[in-house]
Amino acid sequence: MDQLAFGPDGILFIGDTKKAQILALETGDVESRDKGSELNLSGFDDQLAAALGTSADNIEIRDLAVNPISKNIYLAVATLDGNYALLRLRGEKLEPVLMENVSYAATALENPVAADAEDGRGRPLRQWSVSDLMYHDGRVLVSGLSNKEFGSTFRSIPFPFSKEQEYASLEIYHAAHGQYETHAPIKAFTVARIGEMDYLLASYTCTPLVLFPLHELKDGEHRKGRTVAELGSGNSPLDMAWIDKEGKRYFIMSNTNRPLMRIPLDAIATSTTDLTEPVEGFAETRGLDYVSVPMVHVLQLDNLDSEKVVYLQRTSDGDLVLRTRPTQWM
Amino acid sequence: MQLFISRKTKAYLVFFYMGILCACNSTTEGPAKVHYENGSAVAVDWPGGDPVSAPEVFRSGNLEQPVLGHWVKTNGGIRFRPIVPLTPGLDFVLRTVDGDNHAFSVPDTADRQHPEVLGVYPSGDSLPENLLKMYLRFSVPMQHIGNPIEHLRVRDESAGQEVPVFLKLERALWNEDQTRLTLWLDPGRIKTGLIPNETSGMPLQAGHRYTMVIDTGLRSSTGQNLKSVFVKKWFTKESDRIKPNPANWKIQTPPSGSLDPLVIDLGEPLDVVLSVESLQIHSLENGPLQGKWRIHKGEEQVSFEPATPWKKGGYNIYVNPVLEDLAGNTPLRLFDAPIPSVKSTAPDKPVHNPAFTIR
Repeated sequence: MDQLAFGPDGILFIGDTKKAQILALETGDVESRDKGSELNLSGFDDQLAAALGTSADNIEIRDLAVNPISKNIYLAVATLDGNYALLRLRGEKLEPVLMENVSYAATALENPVAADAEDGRGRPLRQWSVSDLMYHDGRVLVSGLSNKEFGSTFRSIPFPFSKEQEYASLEIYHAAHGQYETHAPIKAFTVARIGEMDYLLASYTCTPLVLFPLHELKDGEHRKGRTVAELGSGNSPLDMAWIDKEGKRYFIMSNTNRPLMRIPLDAIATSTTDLTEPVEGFAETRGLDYVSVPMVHVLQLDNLDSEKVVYLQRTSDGDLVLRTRPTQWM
Repeated sequence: MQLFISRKTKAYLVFFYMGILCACNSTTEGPAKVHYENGSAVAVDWPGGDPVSAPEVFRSGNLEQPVLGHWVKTNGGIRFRPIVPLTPGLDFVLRTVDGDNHAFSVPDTADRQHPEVLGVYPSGDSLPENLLKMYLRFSVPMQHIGNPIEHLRVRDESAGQEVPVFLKLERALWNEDQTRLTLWLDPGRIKTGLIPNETSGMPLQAGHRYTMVIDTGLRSSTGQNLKSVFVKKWFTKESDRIKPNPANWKIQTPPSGSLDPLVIDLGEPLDVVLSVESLQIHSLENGPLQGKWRIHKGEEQVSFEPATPWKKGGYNIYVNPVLEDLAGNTPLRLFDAPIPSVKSTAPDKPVHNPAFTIR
């Protein structure tokens, strides 16, 4: 279990790299609440480890997702020896989500069929690692990276699952004369609604923040995206969210090596930036302006309700905390 | 004078002593029994009781957060199944509804192997400046959590400093059974013109010597540390900007009727995994052949041993265009090259499939 994302009606989508599939779990957790519980839990890794009969150095929190209906927090936790647990935090109480008790559907993450498969050429088996997952408008969007060829895949899978999956090869002109395209893997993505259109806002490992009109992502085609911000090397995006603060919508991104970044949606919408030229000198960032929210080492982040976010953070003294924070303070 | 203490008295004395000892602690060793399946502590059995008013199980040291799981009725009692198996080497407490604590532990099994590094690929000691990836092979399944990059150090000996060369991903790229790790050198720094390349330069510098050290902090999936530190040294030569070309491979054909290997000299080291997975031998008459591929000579040579003796006739080696050299160049494209933004009307030039004949 690598990635979690909620769909409608309490359906939880789970990206499972080991089994190369996406699961849709009917959690039945549909009792509606307006507000999520405020939380300030420290030693959260110790608490999770105790709940799993192990020690903190044997577990890792893979992903966190809030059920938008019940505001309960779901956690995918992996153990050193390869087991997984899906847990729910109801207020401050941890409970297991037992897969046997819920109904689910699964769709396999197949490799896109090679055009020359009929010739009987050997197709190397790849392990696709699910890097991000999101439900949007009747489709499950998945980004992944391979453990063999250097490449990435982005798929759009209609839900309820059928045999149909659309694969788009999303490539971008990097910021140098538009001459080269990369096969960089998408690390994290979200959907931005700008005017009447939906855009994929994707962040890569080597050049982040690229916009693609979502309807243009057609099966099997290479798509050129518009690079709207270059946020510096040595950094990798972790999570993305949208918050509403004082009537305005903002994009939030957490990172491995930089504080939380905040960019207003209307700046993205009106930006005419298309970085196709190299950075002058050694300036580290270009394109859209962002505000650094003073929160570092935020490992997981999601909206809790209309006024709060919930996040997991490693503090400077090594504590792992799970906290909620009003969006007005972000 | 001999003090005669009857056995019965001794027994009472022992019990009395134990009673005092136990009264000082709030926990006693109790009848909780760990149940194993396939070597994992998957359940805890408790005599008597019922699943409805069942005990709770805790890690000793945290009596606030119970271990999550559920109880079922068994013959003679009840059984607790935690949602993941209990970790060996740890102590637990079972607390009944009456508040009595009973300690138990899951013993560490002595018989666990320390993992070893079987090899680091490319195995050669001269690597191109635009090397794209490395693979690490281990003797047993390795840790499913944590980032192995934290246990690797690469030192540029010529510059006299440690350098970050690998791309740190949120989740490490392991193969299906957790024995092979794929590491990418930061492609953002390899691709010309990208901002990381402009600001930080390529991860490796031609003309420099490097040492990579894998430390013993790396753990197997059962928690055993790497047996010993592993060191690889290499010299970085100029970038490889030539696509691998199957037309240049040298093929040594075995005689018909034999099970001898077909040997292919590739002319350069190729990706250790893709080099065999991208190749398939087809006989012109009978289609694809079953057999075993092997890699030799620092990944510069591959061989194929057929499952059944070679028949006379013509054959093709089908090459899947995902085949990569050490810089990620494939037979069809250079790693660092433009992809046509406009679909050309001419069909893609296919990959050359070398042909050979068995006589």
